[in-house]
Order: sequence, then C-alpha cells, then structure tokens
Amino acid sequence: MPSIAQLEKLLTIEPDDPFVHYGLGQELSKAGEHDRAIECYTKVIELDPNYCYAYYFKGQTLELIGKPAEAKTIITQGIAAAKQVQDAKAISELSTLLQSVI
Amino acid sequence: MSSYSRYQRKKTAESLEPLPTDGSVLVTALRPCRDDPARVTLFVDRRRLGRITLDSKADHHIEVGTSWVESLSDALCEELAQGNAFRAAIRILTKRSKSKFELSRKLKEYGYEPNAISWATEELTRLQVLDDENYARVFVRNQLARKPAGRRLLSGKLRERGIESGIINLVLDEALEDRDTLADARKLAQSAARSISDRHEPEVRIRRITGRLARRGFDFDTIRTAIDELKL
Repeated sequence: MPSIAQLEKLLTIEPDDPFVHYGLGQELSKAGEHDRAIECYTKVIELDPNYCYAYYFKGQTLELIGKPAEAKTIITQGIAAAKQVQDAKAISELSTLLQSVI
Repeated sequence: MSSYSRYQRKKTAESLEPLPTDGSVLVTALRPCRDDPARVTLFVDRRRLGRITLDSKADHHIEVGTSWVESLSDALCEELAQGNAFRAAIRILTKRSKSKFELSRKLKEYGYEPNAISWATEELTRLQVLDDENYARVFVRNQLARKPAGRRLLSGKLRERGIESGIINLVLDEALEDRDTLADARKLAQSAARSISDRHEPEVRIRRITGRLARRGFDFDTIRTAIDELKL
C-alpha cells in the first residue's frame, strides 16, 4: 500500500478525487489516526454521496472511538445511499454493521 | 468489504465503445472542475470523455449542443486521452505503490493509448509521485522485514518490476551494507531444519535446506557456511 505521505501527495494533485480521500482514510485508520480518517470519509461522502463504503468505514470508525449514536446515523445514511444506487452487497454489509453497533 | 473496484472498473478505457463522429451526438455538458479552475469536464451524449482546458474549449468553440464531429474528436483526442490516463494512474497509485514500469503495464491493460500512458507517467515522475528509486528502497525494506532474502532474489524481484540496474545496485548496496547476510541465512536455515523431519537422511535434509535458501536468493558460499553450522 502507498504510505500516508504518498497519498497526501496524490491529494495535492487531485484534491477532489473521492477515491484518493478514501484511500487516505483507509491508511489513517490502519495507523490509528481515527479522527483524521473520519475527516477523509466525510470528504468522500461530500464529494460522492453514493460512495457507500465511505459510510461503512466512517460508521465503523465512529463506533471505534466511542460514538455509537453518530455511527448509527451515518450507517443509516449509508444504507439509504446504497438503496439509491441499488448496491445489494453494500446494503447487506451496512445493515449487518448497524446491528452490531451497540 | 470491497470498495475500490467500482471506481477501478469505471476507469477502464477499453470498456467504452467509440462515439459516432458523424454529428449525430452532441456535447451534453461542460462542468467546471472544482479542483482545477482552468479546466472543464466534457460530456458528449451524456458520457464523460474527460477534462479539457478552457483554452481548448474556446479554441474549438465548444458549447453544450455542439455537434461531436470528427475534426473536433481528432483535435481533442490527445488531450482527453492524456488526462484520462493521468487520472486513472492516480487511482491506481492510490491503491498500491507501483514502479513506472508496473504503472505503464496496468494502464495498458486498462486500454489507454501508449502515448497517453507515456505522458501520464512522465508527468507523475515530474511531480515526484512516481519515483523508482524510492519505490525500490521501500520494496526492499518491506521484503527484508518480512523474511530474510539474499541479493539475487531481491535483484530479480526488482528487475521483474522494471527497475533499472543502476537503481537496483544502489538500493541493494544500501540495504545490505549493514546487514549480516550470513546471520539471515543462518536464521532461515535453522527454521528450515526445524520444519524438515529428523526421519529423513542428513543428505535429504541438507538438499532441502539448500534449495530453500537458494530460492531466497542466498549465494552458495553463504548457504554452505550456514548449513555447516547446523551440524546435521
């Protein structure tokens, strides 16, 4: 995987590419930088509201940092987005995640 | 949870049928690029063709409703192809670090034209996003952190990734300079010896351990020393 520094460099070239924000979010999550990862996923959703997995990982990360109510809200929004684009796999995975959030 | 695939598929150039250039289809949208005010994204027959500069738009008098004819398609062909290859390259690099050779090969697989690929990789090199020397350095560091390996194996892997021999030698000299190759071989030999049953004859065990170390790229003098120390 590219490093966080490399992804940040890619973002300077393509600052509005949701794909790059998403990639950076993934790497920040792995590095335990959850707040910054959430910012990335938020940006992805802002740029492409149909990017269902950004909702998934934002929800998962919110739960991880002890914000289950916010996690539920974002996952519910993700399910709505997945229904909009008729992504059955995303609907299923987001629904499973929603049930697991305590 | 898969996530990249949808975008990756969307960017496959070869999946698109060429648009007719007989004037039967029109420019349907010209959307400003949020990240680049000097460009707009061109849509023809509701299909996104890519980005063009505002200068190109003005030079070719392109507006919503302009007919997509052969002369216009030819004029914009190179610019669109370069821009699309560039954006696809960014997305490929978001998913995984690549050498210049690997990136070119991937773009070719996706159906981008050789000239556009060449332009995109040169541009990314200029922007210091593509850097074979840095790529090779990180690659070797990761390989050595995962499992001991000799120069021959690492050199072969870097060659497979299209790294120039000058860079390979430089990076391997740096990486192996302070590394105790015999200690690496010894460690691997001990691990191999543990995994091969004592029930086998010593010759069989030695042959298998030798094979394992040779496949990890150690030279035969190092292998022999490491195996001799095992006293099988």
